[in-house]
Amino acid sequence: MNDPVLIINYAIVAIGLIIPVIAVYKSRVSKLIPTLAWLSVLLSAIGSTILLYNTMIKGPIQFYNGLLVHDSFTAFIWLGASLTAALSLLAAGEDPLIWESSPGYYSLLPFVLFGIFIITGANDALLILAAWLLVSVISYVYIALPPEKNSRAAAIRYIMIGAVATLFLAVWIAIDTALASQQGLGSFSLAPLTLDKISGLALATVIAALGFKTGIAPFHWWVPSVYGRADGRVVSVVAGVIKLGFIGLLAKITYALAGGTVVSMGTPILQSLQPATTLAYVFGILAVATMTYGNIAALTTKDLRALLSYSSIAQIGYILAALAALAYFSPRDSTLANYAFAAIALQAVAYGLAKAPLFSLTSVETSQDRLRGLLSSNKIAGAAAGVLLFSLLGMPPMLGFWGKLYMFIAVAGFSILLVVAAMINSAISSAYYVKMARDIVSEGENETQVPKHIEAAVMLSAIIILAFGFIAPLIFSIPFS
Amino acid sequence: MEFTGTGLVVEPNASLMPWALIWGFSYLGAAVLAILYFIGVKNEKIYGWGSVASIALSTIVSFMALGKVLGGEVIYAASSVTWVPWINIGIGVYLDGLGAIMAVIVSFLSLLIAIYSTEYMKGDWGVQRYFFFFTFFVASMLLLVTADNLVLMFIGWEGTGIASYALIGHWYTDEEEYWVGIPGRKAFGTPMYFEPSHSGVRALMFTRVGDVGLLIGMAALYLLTGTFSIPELAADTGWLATLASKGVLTALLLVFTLGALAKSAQFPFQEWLVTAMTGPTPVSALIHAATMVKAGVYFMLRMAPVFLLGASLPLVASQLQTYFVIIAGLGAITAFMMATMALVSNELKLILAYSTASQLGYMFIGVAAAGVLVSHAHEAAALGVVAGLSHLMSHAIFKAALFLIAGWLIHAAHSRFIDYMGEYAKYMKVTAIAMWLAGLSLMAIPPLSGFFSKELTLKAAEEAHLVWVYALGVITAGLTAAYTLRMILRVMHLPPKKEGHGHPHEAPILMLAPYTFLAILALVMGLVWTWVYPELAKGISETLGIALAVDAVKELYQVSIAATGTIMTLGWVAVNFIAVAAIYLALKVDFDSILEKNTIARAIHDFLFDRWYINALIYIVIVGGFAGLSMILAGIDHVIDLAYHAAIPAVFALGAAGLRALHRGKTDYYLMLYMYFVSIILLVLYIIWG
Repeated sequence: MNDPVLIINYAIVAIGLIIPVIAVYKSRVSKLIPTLAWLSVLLSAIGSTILLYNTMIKGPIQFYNGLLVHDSFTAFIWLGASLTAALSLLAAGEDPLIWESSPGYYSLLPFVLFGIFIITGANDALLILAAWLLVSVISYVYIALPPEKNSRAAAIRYIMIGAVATLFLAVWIAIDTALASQQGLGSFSLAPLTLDKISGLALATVIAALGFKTGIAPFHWWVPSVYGRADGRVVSVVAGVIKLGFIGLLAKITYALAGGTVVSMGTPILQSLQPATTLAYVFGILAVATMTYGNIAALTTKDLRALLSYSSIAQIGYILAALAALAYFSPRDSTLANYAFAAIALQAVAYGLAKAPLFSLTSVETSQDRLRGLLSSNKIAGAAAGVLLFSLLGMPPMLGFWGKLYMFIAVAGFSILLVVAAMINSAISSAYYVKMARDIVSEGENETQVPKHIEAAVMLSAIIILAFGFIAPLIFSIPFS
Repeated sequence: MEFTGTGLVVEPNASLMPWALIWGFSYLGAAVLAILYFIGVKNEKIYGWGSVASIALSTIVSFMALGKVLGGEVIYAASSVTWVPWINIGIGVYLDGLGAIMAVIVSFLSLLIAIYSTEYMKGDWGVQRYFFFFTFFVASMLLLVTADNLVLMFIGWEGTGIASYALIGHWYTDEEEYWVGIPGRKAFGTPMYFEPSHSGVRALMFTRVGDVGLLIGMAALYLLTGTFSIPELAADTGWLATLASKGVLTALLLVFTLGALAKSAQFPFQEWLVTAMTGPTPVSALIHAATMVKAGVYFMLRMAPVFLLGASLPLVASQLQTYFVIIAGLGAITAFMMATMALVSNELKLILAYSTASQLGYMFIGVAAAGVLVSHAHEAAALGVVAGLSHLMSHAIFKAALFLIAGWLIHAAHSRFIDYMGEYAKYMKVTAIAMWLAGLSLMAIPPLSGFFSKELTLKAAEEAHLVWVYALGVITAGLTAAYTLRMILRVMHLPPKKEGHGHPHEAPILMLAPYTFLAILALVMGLVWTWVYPELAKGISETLGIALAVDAVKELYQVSIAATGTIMTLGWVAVNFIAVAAIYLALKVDFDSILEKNTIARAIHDFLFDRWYINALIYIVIVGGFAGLSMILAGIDHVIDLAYHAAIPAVFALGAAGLRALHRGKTDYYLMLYMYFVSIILLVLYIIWG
């Protein structure tokens, strides 16, 4: 039963390898190249759907003798990443074919999807490192792909800090290995935190590493520079698709660090619930800092790209709030832990689906007020962009609403202060989201001409978000696990 | 007389169809209009009458439901498929006395206002968009008032918010004629004039704060009870005891109620409603007078029986009482504050907007009084609930009439300012009569419906011994008479202050008929109140789970004109009425000249005219504070950006030059460096291992 998923992944990797060959022997601007990239995205969507179905019916599924374990949460993240990749690809159209870096954009996308399959399912610290390197390097390359100075400058910054973050991950893996051995788990198993001081160091390093990747304050400083400067079409992949993989990984590691994995296996080796509580409070504090920073910084900026960057930080803040609840409930209450998983998955996928086309939209022209007058110049793009913004705001019945609802359910059981902070932040965020919506309907002095492929991506995204808003709750009748 | 919850129906007893069509027809209508819009259909009649048709169908189903409910049946219709099985969210319609009456009020008033709109919006450049959002709003409002669970209700709730935002900003090109406030006027440097697009954003933001509170309350309730179902929440009130035992009941309920307070523009959320008047006048009539602003009151009414049932435990009762006293206080403050603003306003729609928020305050007083009463006098608590609903009903009718009249008057005067209106009774007699009828109802003059419903809310406050709430209520009743009479006299009977370009004449039939009908309805409701209302109230109470004996109902809900409280209130209303009549008709006081000469009078006038400076305070403290913080963060980012570009390269350049300088090509020098660093490392290791 597992084979189709693996076969699909092998096919995806094969496509990634074939594309450069075609570029060499046929032409780097061959129309076949985007077609193959589309095929890889389609395969990824099919594979993730099969995996999601199987995990919902049967529970977690192991690959490679347990090195890789997928459940409905990771499968949903992979599916979300596949759909987001489709939107990014649609928005990019054939533009990347004429870049000097062609066919990089298309050949790397299959590897991204494969990398997300591995990184979200990795059950072993060394495998996490391998997948991390694969996806990270691709993300650096992506930012550098467009033939313009800003993207390359952004890529250099991204690489510099990314390298340090990778070192922190390596340190965590070393400590984790020691902790796993100490607790009698497998060599590179994901070990729960203990009361030892070394656990504190493990926690610090893993948060520093994943905090960088996902844009958690205070490791977020690169986000406005990279998302705000690089070409929107590549930011769409990095901020939309790749980030989903890292969010999935963060959730998985959080669950393991809090002791959820060992508790669910029925081996009562947890010394204490205190580490899980500490982890929850650390995430809680980081959540408040992250969402507050992102929302307040977004309030007065007039640059759309910067605004989307800051709001990306804020969105991670909400996800962190759910992660705090996940950390707290993982060893205590599986139902509430499952609500937290649902919150993370729905919030993350709603974020990716909305942000990917919105970032692509920023590549349209150089004006800072890119959404101004969008409705009058392009009804479909204007209305669809409005749907995306309202989903990010958490308006029902769009997908973003369900993420917020589950988030509040899970977090309300953990900390009322965190709930209040999220409430205030959600209210603050409405200021800039509504202002963006106002720009869309206002009359633009310079009418925005949106290319057909970007218009299609924005529209498709709105349809998916609306459809998922209605259908996703029905589909997910079985708790994430 | 007791609160038994016996009228509550916990298990579905009907299939979803046809009852879901109450909102289904209107949603379908909105969807069709959206499709027509995107495929480029321009014919405005199709949009107008398409909207009317879909709302008419919703109205028919609503009346069918009310017929059944008045026959003693509670309709609980649910889908056989659960929408979100994991957390047990279904799609269901709950039509008890409250739900069915609200559905009828919303759909019927919407139908009349939609008919009015077909004439009012004729030739407007955004008429297609208008009717889409109008229909979408009606559907969402109907979903809100008929939903059987909190999530479905929240979906309707947010839908009304989005539609309201879009309709307030309908004329988003922001021409001055659509503004609210006097162009150029400022209070403490804060502009007091608002464009439609700005007002739309304000409305969404103000209400959003409360909406998130509501969402949090829903999540917390789910955690405690495992259900979002409204009937189930009412059937098991153990969660109130759980919260009370932790001492957080009052706080959580206040968070839960934030949405209601914001939606119904109660202090401190009242500002959005004032500037929402930038929308087309039928929108003001429908959304900002008759329906959406009532959503908060509806929410309170819907949850009230739940609280009343849970109040049997002393611990719960005491915390509930604190909560309801706060709510009553906010209602009273809003009622009084907004009435004082209406006294000096010179914009017709603003007067009505202030009045709406003020009257909503009475409704909150009524419901809150029920909560206060339940802990020490069960028999009177039902009065508060029914009083709140009564005033909601009567206000929806007479205020919708007044707004629709205002729409025509503004059109006739070519100005939103009453200074340019005057002696219109000469040109539009039917409209003048309608305005007097609706106005007298607002003034709470017997035998109009507004008198009975307002008296009931005051009676509830009196019974609850909420002395200062009652006092503010009575004072506000007088102020209401004053500003309403001033408005009618200046618009209909006195000569205009300023010469304008108006062409007053009677409204076309499609506009005249709806508001005349509503004004007459306000009178008829009052005339039959004494006979019809107690029976209606009994039915409503029963379906809300409040069991009452027939005699008790008659005694409880009867408004006696001979009661001391009523005489006192009516006397105070009469004093205000006569004073205003004397000031304008006999003394012909020149207020402009007084304001010019008297500094104190001008200060008081400005304080009221600039809305107690609350708007300025919000902008300076809250908006300014966040904007300042945002700019500081942007500055930090800028510094970091500079560091990337300048500081880091400079440090590395300096470092590189320094390190290169160390390389001198001399072996003894290298050896010295080597030994030097080995010594340092040994020293560090010695310190660590000690």
